[in-house]
Amino acid sequence: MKCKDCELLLAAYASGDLSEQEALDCRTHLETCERCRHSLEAYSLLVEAIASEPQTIASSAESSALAAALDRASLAAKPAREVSGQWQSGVPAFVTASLAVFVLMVAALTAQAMNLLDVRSLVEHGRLPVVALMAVVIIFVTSFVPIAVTAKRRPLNGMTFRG
Amino acid sequence: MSQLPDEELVARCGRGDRRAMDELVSRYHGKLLDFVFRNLGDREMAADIAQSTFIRVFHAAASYRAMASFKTWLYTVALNLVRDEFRRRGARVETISSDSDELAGQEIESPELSVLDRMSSVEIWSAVDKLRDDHRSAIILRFRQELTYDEIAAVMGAPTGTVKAWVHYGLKALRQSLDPTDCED
Repeated sequence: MKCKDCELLLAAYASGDLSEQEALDCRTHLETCERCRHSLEAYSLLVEAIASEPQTIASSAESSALAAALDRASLAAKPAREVSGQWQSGVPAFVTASLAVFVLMVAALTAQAMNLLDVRSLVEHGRLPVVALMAVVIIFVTSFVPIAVTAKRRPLNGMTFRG
Repeated sequence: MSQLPDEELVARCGRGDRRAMDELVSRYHGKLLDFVFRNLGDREMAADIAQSTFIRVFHAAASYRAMASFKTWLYTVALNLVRDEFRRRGARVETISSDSDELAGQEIESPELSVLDRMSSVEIWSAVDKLRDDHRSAIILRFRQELTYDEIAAVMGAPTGTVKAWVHYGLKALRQSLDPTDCED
């Protein structure tokens, strides 16, 4: 290896970034070349000086400003609320809607038991359309509301993330 | 939270998890400040750019795909902002170049007492500040941020060989700038 070739590799040699073979070639040349050894020393000093300068540390004011900016950014973005476990499947929304339907049905049955709502008399008095409408409403509420509530949730970004 | 890898934290950020973002901030705020500050030499500007970088990352976290490491992505965003600032400032008035021939033919001094040995950090960083932008960024990413050459290539959008050349010529230019009598070519 000539000085010109070695010179090109010295900076990388000083920072330990050469391949094994390149480092060996460099080392062999350095053993016999005082000029390149001197260059290596200079590069090593530079690399060490650059690397050893203390790391910049964020001041408390800078950290606070960043935290406030991120707060504002997260409010503006309105990201999906933090979810984990069962929340990710949308189960609570479904359960809530189902509970509401359950309460509605219990109320209807209770009203019937207390003679506040008499389906039989409604049928006997020729008000079949009213009974049919009530049945349709119950079927609609029990079938579609939980689905609609669940489907309204935004898709979770994490579901598309590939790690 | 502190045990989680960066990529998992970014995924959580994408779901709006502020604690995950706080963890990423605690890992990288200082490094990012250092990177920008060493490039621009302006602490206030460094804080602004570091802040903008994190906000951009936070907004884009949901669409982040782990094609490259988070660290590489973070520095890429920061470097783009730094380059915008370079452009805003216009061409740097004073730069030093390794291909200057004004030093050619000078004799080598004795290695016993190198001027570099006695350089203060202020002098060294003043010289770093005068390097070409890409040389300076490559050197800072390699020796301050300890990125590999491949990572730097990804951040800077250049081939790895080019990055190695930038680091080499940057260090060479620094050496010439700091100790003109010490250079043989």
